[in-house]
Amino acid sequence: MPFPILRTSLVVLTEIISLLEPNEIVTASLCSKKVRSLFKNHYQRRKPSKWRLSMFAFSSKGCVDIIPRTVNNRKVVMMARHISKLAGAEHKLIEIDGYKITDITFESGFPVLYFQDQVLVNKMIVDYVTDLFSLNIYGLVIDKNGIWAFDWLNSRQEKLLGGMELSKNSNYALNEDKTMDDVLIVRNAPSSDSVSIDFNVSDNARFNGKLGPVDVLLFDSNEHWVTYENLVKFDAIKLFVYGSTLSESDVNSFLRHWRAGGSPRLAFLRLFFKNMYTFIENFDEDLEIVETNEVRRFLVVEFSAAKNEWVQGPAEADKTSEKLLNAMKISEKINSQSVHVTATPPATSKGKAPYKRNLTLPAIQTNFLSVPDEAPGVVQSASGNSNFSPKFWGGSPSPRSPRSFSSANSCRF
Amino acid sequence: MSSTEQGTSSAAPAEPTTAPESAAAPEVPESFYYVHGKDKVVHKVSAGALQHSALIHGMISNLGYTEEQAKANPFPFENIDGDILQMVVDWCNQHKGKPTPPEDTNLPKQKEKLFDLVLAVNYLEIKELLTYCCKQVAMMVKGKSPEEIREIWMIPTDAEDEAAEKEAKKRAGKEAAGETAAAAGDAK
Repeated sequence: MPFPILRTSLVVLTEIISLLEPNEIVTASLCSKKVRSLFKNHYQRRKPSKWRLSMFAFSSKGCVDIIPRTVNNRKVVMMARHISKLAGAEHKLIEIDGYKITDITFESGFPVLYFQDQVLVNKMIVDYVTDLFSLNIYGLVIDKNGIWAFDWLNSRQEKLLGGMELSKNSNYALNEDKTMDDVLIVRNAPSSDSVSIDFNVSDNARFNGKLGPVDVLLFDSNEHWVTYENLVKFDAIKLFVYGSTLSESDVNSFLRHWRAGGSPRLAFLRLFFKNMYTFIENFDEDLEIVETNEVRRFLVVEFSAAKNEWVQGPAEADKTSEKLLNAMKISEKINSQSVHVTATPPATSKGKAPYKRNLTLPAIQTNFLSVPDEAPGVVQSASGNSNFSPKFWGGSPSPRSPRSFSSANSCRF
Repeated sequence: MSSTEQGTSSAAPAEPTTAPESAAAPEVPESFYYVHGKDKVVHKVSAGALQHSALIHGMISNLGYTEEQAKANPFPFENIDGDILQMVVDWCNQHKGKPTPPEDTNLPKQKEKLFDLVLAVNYLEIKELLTYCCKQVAMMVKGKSPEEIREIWMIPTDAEDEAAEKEAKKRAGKEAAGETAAAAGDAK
């Protein structure tokens, strides 16, 4: 039975629009210019400021997705693919915003636009979605051919990107030719909430100076970058290093540097060693580090699968070491695919002259690349790992500007 | 019109029959009010049930009706069909003093009357019922293409909108010309 939506009052329309999922909004906006204008006005009046838009720009496809409430709710809202990916010889030409689209499908629950020029259609979908929701792009995920998107986004919006990821793509291997691009991204990413560097970075890539300031800095298996010399240069509030190969002497040196007031913004440091059986115990005496059984209570923000939302969990009372070990085991087991750490910082206290850092941190979750596929609202691992978590941007909020944990402010490249 | 659960629907409303909900609570007689729609059939509804409607609740508060005055002056809702008003009254009675559960099985299911129901509920300002009805409307387009959505929501195409706009302009032009001619005739 039809429902003449345009004959209802603004109150009713507003209520209906607020109940639609972002991908449904985008699809419905293609009904007519009038409907699009209606939606656009709605989102201009009620800006969904908590939503995070991400752009994915790959050689084979591009898309825009939205994290409306929590990272687990992320939805692909529009996708662009090369026309060669569409079976069938006959296409229905359509025009959107002056762009001539070779074909369009909706089987996946969101519009998939087929085009000859991948770059052009990627730009088109970003323009369309950002215009519809009156939002800027927050996150960017690119492969080696998507460097253009970084410059393009920075030129089209005043607001800096919240995060970037240079993705691990199944058909992507960073070669020496791209070394400079890596350095370029790192150099240009300091305003991000989070910077993450994973194993895609070439061994030949050289760290070109100070990295930061960022809120969260994650290193995954880029142990060749995480040296004492580089550690002291990183400017982050929270620093996570996975697969570290730092020596005991390096750790001691860094702790000494930190204790002496170096790295002043650093409030939290977590090291995961490459070899899970590596435990540094021989701290230098002058550091006066003692192991303690003290149980600290931290407010932990956890993801409630049942409620599908971020909730403030109970105060954390478990021993951190157990959780760290578990996290490391998981990390080892799934070969650096997805680690969700809900542990609190190590309950290590310093002896006579403890230097106190604010260690009260919410949980941070780290995932590797999540390339949206055409399955509706699903984000999949590039490698198809079954342990892969669809959560992609879900870092911890900045201590400087407390935010809801559902805000997506952690990403990696 | 058939009788409602809490009260009767008739031209001559019956005496209240509903007992106070809680035996432990002090015996306060429940007040009843009367509403009628386009079909003039009067529905007797308790004040508790009418709390759901911000409009009626506001009217009751402002008018300060006694039981007798309320009986003599049913609230007229001439713009609401009788069967739709019956649905709304039933829902209000079923949810008297209770919050609406997320999956409310007592809600009206007639999709063919959804549009009229939405208009009525919006007019009567029943927030929870409006949200439920709007959910039904939103659910209609789940997984649908723009063409299908256009059909379901009766959205005209751009071409149809343009044609309608042209037509409206033409009509407005004619009307203006007619008015000018009439004014000229009057001047002569």
